[in-house]
Amino acid sequence: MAALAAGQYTVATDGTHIATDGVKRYVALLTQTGTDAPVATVLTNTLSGPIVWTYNDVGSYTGTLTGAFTADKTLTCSGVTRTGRFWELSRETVNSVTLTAITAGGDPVELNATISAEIRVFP
Amino acid sequence: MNKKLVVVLLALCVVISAAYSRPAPKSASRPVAESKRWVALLTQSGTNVPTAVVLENTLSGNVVFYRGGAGVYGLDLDGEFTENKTWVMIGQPIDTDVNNGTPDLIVRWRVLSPNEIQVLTSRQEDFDNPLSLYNGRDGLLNNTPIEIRVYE
Repeated sequence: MAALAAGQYTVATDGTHIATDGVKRYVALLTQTGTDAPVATVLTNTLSGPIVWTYNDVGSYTGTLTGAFTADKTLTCSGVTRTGRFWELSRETVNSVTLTAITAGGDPVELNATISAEIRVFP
Repeated sequence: MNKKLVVVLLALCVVISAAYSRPAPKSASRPVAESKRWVALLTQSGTNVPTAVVLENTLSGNVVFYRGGAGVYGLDLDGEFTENKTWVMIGQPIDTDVNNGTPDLIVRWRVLSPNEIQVLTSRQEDFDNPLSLYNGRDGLLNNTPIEIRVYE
């Protein structure tokens, strides 16, 4: 089965699934430790290229892909790590998204975890 | 009419007809990775095991639940949850009874093994003391949305 619902994909002659709903998707497991940039295990990426992740500051990381994140068309996600740190992935500019992590008290903190992340860019 | 001209006109009609009957090209054409999905609403009360309203299930079988202690629940399916291929998203509920409705409840998860995803529930105050970091509480799941994807 595909990650997309019926009608949202077609099967190519080589067996690969092709998105037909016009939505571009980036699905990844992001792992961040210490003061390193997040490392992505990419599960799906139909954006125009790979997202490059960099470290900014405590609990602040940037994902960059030029021209990929259209204003008012980009859907991101948020959650909580296994150790109770809140994280949010948000659109910053047309070229970047920001991943931030805070404690339950609201203070910036290194993510130090693996999270499930998804970005969708609608047509 | 010239036979050659008739043949050319017929061929042209066939070509035009085929062009207009072809489905419109789609706007996205990049390959999409395949995954299996389990989408559900989780509810748990007292010391009972969680229950689920399953909205979609393309895993290899049914997920079985257990309660390992206060705020600790297992979602089990033998061999299903492949390391580095399992993607999970859980909604974060808002408790309207305390803190004036600010997000006070915390729902976490981890892939414990290929056989099990563990869901942990607690209150924010449980994190004030590092020693109680993993303290859990029951009764915090109420139709809480969860999506599990296992990619190939």
